[in-house]
Amino acid sequence: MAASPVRQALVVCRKDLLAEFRERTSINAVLLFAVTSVVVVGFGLTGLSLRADAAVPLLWIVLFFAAFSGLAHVFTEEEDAATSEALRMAASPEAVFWGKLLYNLGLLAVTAGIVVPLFLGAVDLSVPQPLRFAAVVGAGTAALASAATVVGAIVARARARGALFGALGFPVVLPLIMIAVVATRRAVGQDPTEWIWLRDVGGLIAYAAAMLAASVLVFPVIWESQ
Amino acid sequence: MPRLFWIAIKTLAAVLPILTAWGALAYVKPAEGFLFPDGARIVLFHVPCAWIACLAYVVAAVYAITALRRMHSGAAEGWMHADRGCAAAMELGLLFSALTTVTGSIFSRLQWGAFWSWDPRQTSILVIMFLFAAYLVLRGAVADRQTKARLSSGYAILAVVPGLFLIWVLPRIVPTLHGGANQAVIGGGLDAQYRLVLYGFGLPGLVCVYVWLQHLRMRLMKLEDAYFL
Repeated sequence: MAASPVRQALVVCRKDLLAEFRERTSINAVLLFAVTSVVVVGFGLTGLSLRADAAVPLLWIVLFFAAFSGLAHVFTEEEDAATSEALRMAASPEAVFWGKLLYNLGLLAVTAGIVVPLFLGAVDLSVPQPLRFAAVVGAGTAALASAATVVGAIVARARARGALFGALGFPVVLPLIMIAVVATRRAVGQDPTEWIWLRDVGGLIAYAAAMLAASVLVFPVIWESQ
Repeated sequence: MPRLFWIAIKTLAAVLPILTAWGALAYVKPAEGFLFPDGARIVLFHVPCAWIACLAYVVAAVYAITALRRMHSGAAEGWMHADRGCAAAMELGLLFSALTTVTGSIFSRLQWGAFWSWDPRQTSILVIMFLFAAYLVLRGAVADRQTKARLSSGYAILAVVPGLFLIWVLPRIVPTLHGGANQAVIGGGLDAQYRLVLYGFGLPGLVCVYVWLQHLRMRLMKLEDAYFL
């Protein structure tokens, strides 16, 4: 195949998007799961008024579970439909990885776009600096998707996938959840002159970049057939 | 391995921990200025365990890279040996990080008043323990021997990113109770007696125990591989 790697990756992403539009399995499942967890959080907090810094970790718990409920789907679907061998022949491992990553980024972005406003409403959290908040949540979500994609590729080839995905993913994404929680706390703070949140966003992007570098190294080995 | 090397390792693995126990219980003086001065003695077990957990982590990552490289060059026994090394290091890492957590909690209760206080170092060792455990769970979830080696080695290499972050970055950017441990060399605040027991007996002794256990575990795994394949 003579297509450039970037083009191959875009084709892989487009293929997954098409399959998703036909069957709508993962987006519906991830969204419903995320919305359900927001409802559970909101229900559990009925009658309590939560301080902003206590509500922020709950937001990231919801996003963590949303990511780890559905981001392995792009890989498990290939194994279940027995199409992974065809994909191996059609595209290079790098193209497959970047294509799937792009798809997962989109999926989680859509989920976060719906879940975060719902969450803010459910726990009655006001955001004095919307742009700053959006930058932090955006960077954190992107980093989450980057780390979850490669773990999804591992899990797709093992047994007991559902439980395994969360178990393998949790220690890998915990450092970034820790940065994201601190950064989001600062972002919902009142002080508009405080610029330290920019450093936090940098930290999230750096962690995502390190994870991506390790993923690109390791993915061809994981993806290889017997 | 030469016979003499193993005789030396086994002798040291037997003698040095006994000397550490003697040093910790009888030789060092109770630490002044501590909430519970005698409690400081547990540091002489706690710190070496934490170091061995980190050592096991590095050993596992090196073996994982070796396994993948050998798999590419096609030597069957070569990659299996490295894969067993990685798995053995992960198992021992889990053991020593669990020991670190337990001894650390006891010390934390004596010194800071609570078994657990979500200090960055405590969080780090806990998450590293999860990394070891996740690796072993992953191995259990794959049936084919080569796929098992490939996936688990891949995960071991991925785990280097959070591992490095938790061991070396996080405790330096978040305020921590482990003041002394944050300097590049541990034990800046320890007095000479503690340093002697720690560096003279505790650390080298546990390194020898670790090397021996790693070797034994790899031999046992080799037998398991031979039996099941």
